[in-house]
Amino acid sequence: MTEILRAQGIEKSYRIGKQDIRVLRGIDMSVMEGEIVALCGSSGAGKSTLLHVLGLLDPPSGGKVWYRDVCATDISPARQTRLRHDLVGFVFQFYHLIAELSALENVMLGEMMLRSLPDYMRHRKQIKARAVDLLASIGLGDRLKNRPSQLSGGERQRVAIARALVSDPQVILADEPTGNLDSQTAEEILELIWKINEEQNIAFLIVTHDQNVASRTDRIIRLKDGLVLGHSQLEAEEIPL
Amino acid sequence: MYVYYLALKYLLSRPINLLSILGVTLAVWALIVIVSIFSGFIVKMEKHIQGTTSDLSFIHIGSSPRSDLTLFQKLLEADPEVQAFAPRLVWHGMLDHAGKNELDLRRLQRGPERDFVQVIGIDPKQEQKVSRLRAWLAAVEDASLRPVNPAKPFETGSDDEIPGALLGLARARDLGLPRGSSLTLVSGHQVRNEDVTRIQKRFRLSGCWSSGFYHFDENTMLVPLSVMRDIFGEGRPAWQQAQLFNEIAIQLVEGADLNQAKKRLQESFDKLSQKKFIWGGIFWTWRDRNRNFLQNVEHQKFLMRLMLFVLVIVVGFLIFATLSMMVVEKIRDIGILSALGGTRTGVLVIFAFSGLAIAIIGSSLGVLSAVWTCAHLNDFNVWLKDSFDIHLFRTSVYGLKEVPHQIEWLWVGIVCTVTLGLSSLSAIIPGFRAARMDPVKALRHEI
Repeated sequence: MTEILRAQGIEKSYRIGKQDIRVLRGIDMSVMEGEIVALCGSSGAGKSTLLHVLGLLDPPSGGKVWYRDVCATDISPARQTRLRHDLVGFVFQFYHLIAELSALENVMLGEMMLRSLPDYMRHRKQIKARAVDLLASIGLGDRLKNRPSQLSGGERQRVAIARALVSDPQVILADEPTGNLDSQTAEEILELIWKINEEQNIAFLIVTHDQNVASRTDRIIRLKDGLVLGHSQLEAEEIPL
Repeated sequence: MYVYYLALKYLLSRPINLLSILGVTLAVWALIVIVSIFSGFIVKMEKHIQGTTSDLSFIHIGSSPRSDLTLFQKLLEADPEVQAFAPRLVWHGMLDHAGKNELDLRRLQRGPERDFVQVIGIDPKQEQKVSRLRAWLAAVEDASLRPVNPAKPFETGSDDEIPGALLGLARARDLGLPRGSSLTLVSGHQVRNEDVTRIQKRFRLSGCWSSGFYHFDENTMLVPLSVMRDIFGEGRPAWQQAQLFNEIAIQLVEGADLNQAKKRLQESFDKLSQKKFIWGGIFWTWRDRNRNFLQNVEHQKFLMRLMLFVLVIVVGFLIFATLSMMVVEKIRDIGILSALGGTRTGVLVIFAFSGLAIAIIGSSLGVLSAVWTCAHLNDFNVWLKDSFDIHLFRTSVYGLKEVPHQIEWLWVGIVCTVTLGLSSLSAIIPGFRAARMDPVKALRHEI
């Protein structure tokens, strides 16, 4: 399997007053093509910070992030933006859909991002058709014109997943994607993630507290106090959450 | 591409943005409509003033009329740009329309304006060459107030010896005077160090005129020049009496430069006065004569523009506040956009474009509504008066039939440019704040 994402000695510290808070203390990890990896740890372990650093939303204080053979931390912010758009998808706990846009528009937004107006107008039909197909494939074919406020939590998360998929990413970084859903809906979302992974071979790095979620992944990365405790496929009861 | 799409979505989905658009619309509307009314008023007034004042006037400096008209005739006839001229004898006095000899206390209490009058002694034949006297007489719609014979407007049709006088229609209507009414002019004049000589002269109202310039119509009485010469020439030899005047109205040829002509005539007159040791006098253009009034209106127009521009600044603050609120409301969206591949410039453009769109839509609506308002200004004025007893413009005060207006397109351009500039500036500041926002903090933001 090819390595898609690699982190090398990632450090992140914040300055609060006169004190430096070291959130990440030299993280080494990787995600392989088509792999589903769980990122676990107690609150404050640095899971979300690591996810943001890996997603190039937050620059690390030290260390490097690689996407395939590109050292993403060494390139310009403009190239980082392009790389993020082309290779990475995000799914958040609170969906983070844009309230003013319909489900279809939220999904299309990902494809609008880096296109000029003439380019978008030329490809408008294809972009729209792809967004419609994506929403239909996740069971929202009849909710295209609904705004986020008119959708249930599960439906919103599906739209968020469709939005992450629209630019054909190689890895999706999911920050507690089921954390805000009831168990039945959470199960549906997990099934969808595994289905996408199986059908499209897209890798997932999932931040989770849920033993049930972690136990189903290919690999678990356990964080504690900004350090990786271990990489393993642990039994559910062994995972300290 | 997404920036414009998202900016318009944000713009249209938030009612407070519509309030900003309304603010811009109102400011632009007010700036255009009010200044158009002022401009129209100035143009109308200038036209009216020009109609009641000849191109140039010679004004005698001295307390009693001068008697060297022949000298001036030569001077003026020698000038290539003087087309016609007419001597006048202008005086001031109190007008008693009841035929009484004395002013009673009740009338004084009512206010001096009612009785004050500027009396202009004219020769109708010559006067028609320098003013629009015949047109003024014809402008009186009520035939019973028009002079019987417009060619000889001072003819009273009465057998008595009382000379005729013309009053402005506004004054005659104000006093409720029919043609043939008795009018008494009460005044006085002093020759050098002698005692003040009382003037008391009866006239009969031979008709009215309407120049369109209310101020002139309300305060002026036209009487025969010969009668004024009789009054002021008492005790003087007949040849002197026949030359009395204290003002000359001068009409220039079409296209003549007023200021050049004024300068030339003044220089000729100054040379002549030094040579012949005659009394001084000055030449004035019609603008010089009404300088205070015209400057006052222009000054008011300037002040109004200044005050209304404050409105645009307030609108700028409104847009700033609205977009700042939008940045706060949309913090999480800024994080999402970054996660989806949005750039800082893109985020800046979303907010700057929102501000620009507010300004463009507001300005366009403002210009359209202002043009529409100007086209229906009179209906609007009547509607305001009937519905709320508010007078947008009191036409009666200025003797105008309708609300004057003139859209100055250069001004419209300035208003739109300043509004767009200020609105964009107001939008860029919150836009920069949004663009500088840390996407991670934005994503963690909870509303």
